[in-house]
Amino acid sequence: MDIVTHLSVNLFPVCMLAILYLNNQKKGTRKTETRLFQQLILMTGGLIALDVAAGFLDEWQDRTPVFLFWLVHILNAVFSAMVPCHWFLYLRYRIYGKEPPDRINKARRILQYVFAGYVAFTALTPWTHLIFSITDDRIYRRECLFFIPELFSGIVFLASSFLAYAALKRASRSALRQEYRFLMQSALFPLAGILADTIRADWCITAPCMSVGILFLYIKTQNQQITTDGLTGLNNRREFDRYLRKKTEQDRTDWGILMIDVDDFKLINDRHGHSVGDEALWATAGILRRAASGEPVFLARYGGDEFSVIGEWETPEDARHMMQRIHSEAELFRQRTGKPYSLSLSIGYAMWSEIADQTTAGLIAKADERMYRQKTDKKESTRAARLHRQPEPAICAKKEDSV
Amino acid sequence: MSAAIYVQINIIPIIVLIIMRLNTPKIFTYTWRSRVLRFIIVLLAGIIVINMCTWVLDGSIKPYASALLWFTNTLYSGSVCFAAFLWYLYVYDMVVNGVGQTGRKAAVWSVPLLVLLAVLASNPWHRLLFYMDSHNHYVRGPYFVLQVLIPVGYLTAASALAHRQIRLEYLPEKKKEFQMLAAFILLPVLGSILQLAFFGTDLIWPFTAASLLLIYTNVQREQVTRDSLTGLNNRRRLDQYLQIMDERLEDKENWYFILMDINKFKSINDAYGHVTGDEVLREVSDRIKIVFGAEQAFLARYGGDEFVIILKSNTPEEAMDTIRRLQESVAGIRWGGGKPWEITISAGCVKYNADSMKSTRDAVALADKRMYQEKKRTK
Repeated sequence: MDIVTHLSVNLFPVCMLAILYLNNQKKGTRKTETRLFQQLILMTGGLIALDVAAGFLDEWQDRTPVFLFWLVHILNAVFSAMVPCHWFLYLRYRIYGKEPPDRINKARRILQYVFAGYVAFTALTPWTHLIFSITDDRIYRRECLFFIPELFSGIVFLASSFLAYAALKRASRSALRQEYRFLMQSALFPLAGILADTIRADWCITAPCMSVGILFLYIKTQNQQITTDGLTGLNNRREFDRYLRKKTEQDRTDWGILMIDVDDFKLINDRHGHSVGDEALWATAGILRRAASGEPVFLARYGGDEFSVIGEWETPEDARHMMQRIHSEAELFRQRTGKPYSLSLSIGYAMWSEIADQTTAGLIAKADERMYRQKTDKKESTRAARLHRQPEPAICAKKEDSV
Repeated sequence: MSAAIYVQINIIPIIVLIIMRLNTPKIFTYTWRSRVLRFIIVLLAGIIVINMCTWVLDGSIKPYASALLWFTNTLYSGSVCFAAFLWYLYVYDMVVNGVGQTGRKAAVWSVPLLVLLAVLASNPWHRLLFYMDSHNHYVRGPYFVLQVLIPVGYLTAASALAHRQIRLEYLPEKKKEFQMLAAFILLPVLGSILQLAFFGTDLIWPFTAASLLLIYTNVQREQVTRDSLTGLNNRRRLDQYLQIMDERLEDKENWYFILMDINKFKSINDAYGHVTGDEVLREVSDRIKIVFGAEQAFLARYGGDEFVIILKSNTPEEAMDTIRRLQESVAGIRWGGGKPWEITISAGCVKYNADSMKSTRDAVALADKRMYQEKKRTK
């Protein structure tokens, strides 16, 4: 391939990477995920630059020293393995990022050793002539193990895809499944590129395909953010409405909804400040996630301090069982963490079959009604407890003074 | 150039456009504007495919090649012009902030497009635009330039419209959006210059696809970072912004962090319902945009009825003065009929100080405290 072709194939991917890099930069770099993604873009850009550099060398064959040929081609082989390794780490971080760091570090170390071995092997090429060689008249020639770089990066891309696939098999929540699915698909684009390059020796499309994979990751991640709530990471109100509409259209078996309200949230906010209030909301989302783990339910933040769970429960007993699980998780949270506020939740449920007019508004209103009943019951009982025993802290008692 | 190279150059933009198209239904709400943008994406993918076909077929001696070439070249010119026309309508709709351009105005603007389509349709007979010679090579006709001038004219007009709008907008986010729209034409132009300079490259359409990707990511980012009710930055963007501020707190001289909320908003909501509550929020945020839009400031909705403003100001007095102006402006809100409800807001203002603050969280806490103090005072 001559240099003009190299340039015209690679200019669009470079433009694309530049656009993604700039867009991503606006997010700030403190989050590990953003930083990893940023590095992934840069590495792919580097690989493309090396591809183009190789094209330039071919053009100026007689004017370039031989060692430059060696350097560019070795670097090219190193970079084409570095991108998939980084891809693997990025996917691993997105899937297991919330787990203790030592598990992630272990995988990273293993990958580092393998990668170091690979780099050493390629760096020795000028002496071993195993992967490729540069002839005296400066022509690149494939040698017996020429397929090693392609094979290595292909295997790592395949492993990344499989990693996401394994996580997909285990996941039950729909939001997580969606995420793992697109993570899995993202590694397939570079694989297609590698395949095309292997079949056609004169093609050079792996790096452009990698940038398409990166674009795919970026667009899917952004879309995911549009449907989730920025603070808690649960589905947001827009997605809740959409899901509810979808649910009402396909009513085969019965299903239900839980409305969950944080007791005296306004008081927590007023007394301890907004950052503590945010923390309480965040903790509530965590409680819901733990209570829902292993069950195919839909979690959403409905508004300010209200949350909602939609599940395919067949009987009201199932819904009440879920409520019980949330309450016991909240109890666990109160015992385990010494927070200055006391976090308690009021929950109401409603089943689709018990709503006479079959509207979502009716469904939510019914669940709300039961939730408020629980809330007033709780207040009554704390009031009674206060009359009979020692005084309770005021935070659990009154709500009327919030206005 | 061989067919394999054309495939390599064009396959990537086509895949990218397909990814963009497949991922739009969910993110964009179903509006006229998003439909047009989606259609432009599809049209562009189609144009690239047709373009590829014409290059591969050009000079071919296979049977029917001549008829096919007439067809693909006509389709190509028509689609290019149509895409440019749609882009113009899209930008116009953004500028007037409309809900769709389908009426008489759109018909007037479509006149150049219709003229070109008519000439194209009759081209096989009068051969004014192009024709195929005996070897099936494409040959330019005397009025060839018409096929270029009309689409370029639409794009230029769209850029000019967007450019004029940059000065009229007061929010920096809006300004940036129109800058992006005005710059849309640059990449295609760059692509065609490169194509002329390096013979044998085919860059204009990949570059146009890159330009469209830029617009697409921008629309997407806006959906992620903008609060849909008030049009201010949302909580997610605010957190990002605070994080970036944290990273370089030292060089934030003369920045003020302002937290404010609407007094007794909960009782407005309870008494008049959520629709009125939403209306109040929108009114107040409009005032915020007007008062702070002229300053160097970052405006965001923090949550429910709370707003955060990060303001650059020379002296504390100036900052307090701007807040006072906002409070007066908000107190002036009346909505028609019935008994007018006085809306007031409380604000807490904190100056960023690298020495005493470890992070912006401290500023939030302090502003919070000051806001509640003011609230108590006014009660």
